Amino acid sequence: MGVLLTAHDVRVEFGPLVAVRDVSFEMSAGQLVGLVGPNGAGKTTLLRVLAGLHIPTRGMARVMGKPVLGEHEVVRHHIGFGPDSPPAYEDVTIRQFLEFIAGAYELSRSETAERMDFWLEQLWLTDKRDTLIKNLSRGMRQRVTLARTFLPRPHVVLLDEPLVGLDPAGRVQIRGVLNMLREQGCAMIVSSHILSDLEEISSHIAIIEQGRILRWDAADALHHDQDQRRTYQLITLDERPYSEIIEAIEGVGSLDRNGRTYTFDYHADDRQAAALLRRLLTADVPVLSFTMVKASLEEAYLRSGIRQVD
Amino acid sequence: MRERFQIPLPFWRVQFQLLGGWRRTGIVAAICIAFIALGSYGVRRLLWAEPLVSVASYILNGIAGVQILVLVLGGCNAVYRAMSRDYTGKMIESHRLTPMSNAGIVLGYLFGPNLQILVLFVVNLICGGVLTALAKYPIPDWILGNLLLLSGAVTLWAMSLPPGLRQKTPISFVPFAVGFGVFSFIIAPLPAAGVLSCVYSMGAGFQVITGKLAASTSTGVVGALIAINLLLAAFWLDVAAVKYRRPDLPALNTWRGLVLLLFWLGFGIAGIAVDVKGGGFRTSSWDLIAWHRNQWVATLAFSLLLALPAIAGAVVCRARACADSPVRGPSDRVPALTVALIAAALICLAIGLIGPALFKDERFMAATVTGKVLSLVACVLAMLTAWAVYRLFNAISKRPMTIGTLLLIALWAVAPLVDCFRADLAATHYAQSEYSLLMACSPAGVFYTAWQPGPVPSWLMSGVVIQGVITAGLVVLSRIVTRRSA
Repeated sequence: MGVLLTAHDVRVEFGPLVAVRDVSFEMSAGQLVGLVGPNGAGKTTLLRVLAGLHIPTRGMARVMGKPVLGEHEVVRHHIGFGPDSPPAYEDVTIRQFLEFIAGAYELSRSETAERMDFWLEQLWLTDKRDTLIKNLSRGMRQRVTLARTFLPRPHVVLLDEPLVGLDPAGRVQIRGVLNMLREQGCAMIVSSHILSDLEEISSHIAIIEQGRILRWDAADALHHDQDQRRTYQLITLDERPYSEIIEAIEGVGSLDRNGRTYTFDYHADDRQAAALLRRLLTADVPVLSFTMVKASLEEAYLRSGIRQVD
Repeated sequence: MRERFQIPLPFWRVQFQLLGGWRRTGIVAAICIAFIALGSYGVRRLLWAEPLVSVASYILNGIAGVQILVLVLGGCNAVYRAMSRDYTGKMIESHRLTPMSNAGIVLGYLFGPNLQILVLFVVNLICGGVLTALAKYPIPDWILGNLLLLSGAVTLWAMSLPPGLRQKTPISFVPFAVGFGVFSFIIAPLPAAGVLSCVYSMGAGFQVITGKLAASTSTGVVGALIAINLLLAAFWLDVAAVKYRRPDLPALNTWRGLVLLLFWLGFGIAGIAVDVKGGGFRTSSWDLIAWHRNQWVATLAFSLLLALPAIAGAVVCRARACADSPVRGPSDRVPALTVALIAAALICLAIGLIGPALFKDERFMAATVTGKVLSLVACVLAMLTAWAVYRLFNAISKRPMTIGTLLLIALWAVAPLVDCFRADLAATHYAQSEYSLLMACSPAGVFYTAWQPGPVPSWLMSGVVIQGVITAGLVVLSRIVTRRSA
């Protein structure tokens, strides 16, 4: 499957406020984009536009080539959207609610039973299936929302803060579910403030601020700074000081020594890093290991110039 | 057991489950039967001396009243509560994500929350059937009257859907339904209003049920009212379906607005025609000719207001479609000016052809040719004014429909009202004062003056010229502002 989701020049204005600013992108099967940004950056609005729930001031989103705002049933069959506040009927049981959702998606009785069993099992809801939704905790409601989103097997999944309200074990479990869906070929956008979780599951990271996508990169690429400042770690065989030799190399900065371990920044690409290693070896530095230290997503996010972190 | 009686449509089923399902419905039905049985027994004990036929008749009247209250107030409230719950719980968005059809959703909101009400209706129907037999009323009348009530109620439920599907907080239709009942004495004289608000249906239904109107002699009227109600219900369901999918756009857009105008003119003309022939509502204390003339003028004057949703909808939708072609709303490609001219043509057709053809034998239709021509011109100018006003406010205001409509009402109503007030002040005990040019500055005033007996006053033409100047000014202004804002 090729491109599943496209946004073309999407702009949303609320009076003078521009919530989403001319956003365009394409997403293919198997991509999971972690959408991060400060409060009010436009994450939720963008997801709602992509789901067809908010009419943009300009531009449009397409799922499998069809506009999300049209009367194309195929679009609605293939979009799954999990909002940040779980919508559900309070006075029905989880089973009744999911049966209703399955009916709304025209699933047969056998498909309904099979998929319901699967997702109740996956999301640890099997024991609670006959509990009224109003009697569930916040975390359990979040799971019901996820079950509602995944039940119709959408090809495009948009999740707004899906990990909020879940306990640590629940977060690990949901991360596993999202990885499974990604392997099955879903295109997913997951917005979250829990960056460590996003780091583990995302193929791509998008940083949004004031409605504008500041960066949209493969998750690996985001670990490098745009000015190619990278952090390296060097471990030597002996404990003799080599700080002077290392500092003498042009481009090296912020050197920190801890016994045999040296950590420093180096403004360079991979080829220049290899040249650096050669220079160290030529200078008789006994190198035991030389590795690039990946910056965490949190560091990358902070380096992108956004100061407000929730 | 549960599986056997499961409602097949998922949206109806879940709405029914939210009301407690079959168990709760069974309990409510049992309470209702017990209430009717005990109430009937109590009335019988109180009126022991009365013959059984009379007692059954009293109880039947009570049941008919309760039936109307339950159907109208209970039903409209159930629809509102269902939509309000989905709005606050954001389930409405969950529904919009599903492939459930627009029609399926609005029908679900119509009947899902009302399944309990419908069960109560059937219980009342059966209990009332027994009492009808005791009261020696014809049972077919009881059934036919109830069907008429039900059709009217379903129309009102359908009318309560669009305000409940607004983009912002849903609005309850219950106060409007109560208003229709309370102000029925104002609504009923205008045939189109009586039909559109279901005041006629509910009134006729009540009369048939209580034996005041024999359905056997008026089967045609009852059948026609049921058919009209079903047509209106289908119309409002369609409007609600559009509103459900695109709450950001006016649902009474272009064609639907014009259909509403057609309903108004059609029911208005047909109603007056029936009334003129002595088949319908009439007031014995008034001069009948003046009465029918006023009905006619009021129908024409209100038709200007009924044309506004179509024009406003066309302006807003067209502007949206022009701003961004991929984000088109439904049926928004018709230029608003065309819609305004179509609306004018429909009203002119009523003024120039249908009205005079229907009432040619009546004295009140003796409007002069000049009067009719000036009415036609005033009508066209009014529709052009509406187009210009909505166009103007769509360019400069966030709420073009509200502000534009208020301005138009003021533009059309203030001058005649002021003139009436002036004339009343100038009137003496012996002589009524004449109206002035002020009256002719409004299309409603032109209609009123043109259809008065006698020659057309000289100031009528001047008034229409003033209207023309105002219209031209607004058209030019709207053109300048629209170009600037673009």
